[in-house]
Amino acid sequence: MSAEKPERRARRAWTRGPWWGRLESRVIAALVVLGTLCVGASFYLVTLTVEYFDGLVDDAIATSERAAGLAGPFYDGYVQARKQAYQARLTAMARELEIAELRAGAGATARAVEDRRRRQLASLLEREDDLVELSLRAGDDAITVERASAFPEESGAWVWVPATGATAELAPASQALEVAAPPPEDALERHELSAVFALDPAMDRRYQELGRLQREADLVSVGDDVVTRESLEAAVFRAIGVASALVLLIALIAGFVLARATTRKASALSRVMQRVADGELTARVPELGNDELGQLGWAFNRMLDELAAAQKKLSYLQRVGAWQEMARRIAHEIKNPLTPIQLAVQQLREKDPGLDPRFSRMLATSVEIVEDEVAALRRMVTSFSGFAKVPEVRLEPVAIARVFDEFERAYGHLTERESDTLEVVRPSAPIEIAGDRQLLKQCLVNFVENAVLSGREAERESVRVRVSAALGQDREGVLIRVDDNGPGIAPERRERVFEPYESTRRAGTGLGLAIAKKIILDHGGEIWVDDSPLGGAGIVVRLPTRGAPGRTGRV
Amino acid sequence: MRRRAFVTGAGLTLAGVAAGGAGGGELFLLRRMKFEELGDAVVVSVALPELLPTRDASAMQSIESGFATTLRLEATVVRTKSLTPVARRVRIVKIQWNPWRERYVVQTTDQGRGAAIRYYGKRDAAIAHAITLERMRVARASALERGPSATYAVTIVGQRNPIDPESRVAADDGGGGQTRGGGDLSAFSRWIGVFVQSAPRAEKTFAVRSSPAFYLVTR
Ligand SMILES: Nc1ncnc2c1ncn2[C@@H]1O[C@H](COP(=O)(O)OP(=O)(O)O)[C@@H](O)[C@H]1O
Ligand SMILES: [Mg+2]
Repeated sequence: MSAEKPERRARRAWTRGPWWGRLESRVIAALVVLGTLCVGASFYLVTLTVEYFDGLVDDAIATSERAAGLAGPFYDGYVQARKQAYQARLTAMARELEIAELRAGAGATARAVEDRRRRQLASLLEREDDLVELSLRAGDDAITVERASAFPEESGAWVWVPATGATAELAPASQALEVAAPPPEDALERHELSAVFALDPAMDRRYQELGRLQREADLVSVGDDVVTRESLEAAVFRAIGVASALVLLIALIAGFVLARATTRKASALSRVMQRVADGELTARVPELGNDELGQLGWAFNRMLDELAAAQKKLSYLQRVGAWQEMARRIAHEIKNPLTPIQLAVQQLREKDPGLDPRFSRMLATSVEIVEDEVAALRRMVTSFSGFAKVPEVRLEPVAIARVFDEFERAYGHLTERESDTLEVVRPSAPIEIAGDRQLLKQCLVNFVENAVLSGREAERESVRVRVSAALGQDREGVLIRVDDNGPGIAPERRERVFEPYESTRRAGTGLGLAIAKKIILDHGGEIWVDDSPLGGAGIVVRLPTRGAPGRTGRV
Repeated sequence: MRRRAFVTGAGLTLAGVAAGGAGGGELFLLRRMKFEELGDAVVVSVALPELLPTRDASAMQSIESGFATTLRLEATVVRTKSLTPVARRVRIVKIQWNPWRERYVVQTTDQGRGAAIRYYGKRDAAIAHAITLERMRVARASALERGPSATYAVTIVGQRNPIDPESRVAADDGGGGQTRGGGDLSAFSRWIGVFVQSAPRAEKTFAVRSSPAFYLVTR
């Protein structure tokens, strides 16, 4: 690590840009623009629609106003016609009076004539059912009959329509008349007949209603209120404006929440990446759901896992390499003086003069001890240099079954004891891997040796060892297991047993599993300790397969 | 920050709406009026030609077409300082051409009294009578304080052809298009009703207040 690196890192760690540059702000801005556009467009459309229908209503009102305008002359005509009809009836009544007068004949006193005429008028009033009043006037004398109380005008139930101007030519009371010959024209007296008719005002009421409608054509009821169309229109615009603003606000809040949910994931992701970039390799992205960001987080986590595994493997190999170098030096330094020591001790034994039997005995014992220790040292040197010189794996296509065959041939009898058994289970289908046959066999030997030794140490009646192979789950690699019925390995020691010089045996070097792990790692595989169905330890090796069995020959 | 801006914006809108929705107060013109005390009654005399001006062509045409024109005059006696109402009287004046008798009928109805009817041959004479309050009772003298310290004014709100929503609803066979239709439509109608501003109460409204004020002399 160079000195300037942390500085560069520190510069990169500053990531938070201005607020308008952030994803969240942009998403929200996009939502605002979209929302405003949509709401604005629909508001504009509503405005157009309202104005369009307003125009239609204007037309309709104009039409109805024209219709009402037509009703005015119609009403006038009705009034005129009605009046003329009353006039005609009045004239007809005048004629009736004249005829009745002729029929009655002359020759009566003035009083009798007046009585007769009154009776005549009363019978007319009786007959005509809408007549309120009838009066006959000549000069200052007037005879009037009426029934005003039958047609009350004040209450509005009736309209009184006066009719005047009908004249009746009647003979004066004093003059005698011949029935056969009509009296001479100038002998007659001119009487004015006038009447008041009662009219049902239904038509008038309807006409008034028309006036009110016309006046209020521009008004609309809204609930209990009455407003002009114009102010209603303004209210509609205001209402829709506020509704649009509310919709926009809700959309904004929803968009804000959504954007936050998404960008929160993105920033969670970037935070973890930042921590990893700062060297915190154990940092992991939390569960982010099933979307693309969640997938990204998952992939990132997997990448970190693999990175961690690779790092662990690398450091193990580095450690083993260092141990190997040390083993090589120690072996070298110890091996050199061993032969001179042995030769010197042999010379000491040969050159024994044999003068003193006690001295001879002591010498022999000492020489034996030294020779034993030298032999032990030699063995140690052999295993050290064996460890130091673990050969490089040379990969070639090899079938698991063949490795097992060769291993069984060489190691068929587990021990000299009959009760101890070795079981080799070959895979049901041929499995081919890229591997080093010799070294893989050596691994198996190391595992089985450990199993037997551990079983003996635990004083098992009969040691059982099983070597088996099977395709891994998802056909990902092949799993080779070596199970035994020994004491097993405690969970907390399962990592450590692969470290060099890690041993529980008095004569053990602690190198067997270390060598095996290095070989397996060089194969690109993995190794770990598991529980065994046989009751002891289970050493599991996973090796990558070489594709389908048909593709042999290719390396 | 932005969120707060939104809230403020909405608040402003609502405030505007509220301000628009309220209101409806009349603007009073000051006018000289004549006050008299007749027995226990305080009467006022004043003319309000603005309510039905003879140059208002459409109003005149309406009268000449035989349609009735109604004037509603509401006279309120108020204390000049506090403007608290003391008494209130309503007068309804109806002018109508009677085509049968070919004369103008002016019918004046005072609150709690019968109608007084006058007939005119000329339109302008009928109108002049209709827009003039001639000794209209506005308060009982005993209801007012006496002395120059208790000054009163009379406000008169005149409405030409006041709109009676109830008669409209009754006449409009169901009350117009807005209240018909399904639930959504009626909800929309209610929503719009929130935004409707001061509904007009009449075809024309005119309001005056007496100036100077009056007081009852002590006896
Ligand atoms: N099959 C096994 N059963 C129980 N313990 C085992 C087994 N294999 C290995 N071990 C433990 O792992 C240690 C390391 O083994 P190894 O590396 O082969 O070294 P060594 O055999 O020289 O002790 C052993 O000392 C023993 O304690
Ligand atoms: Mg061993």
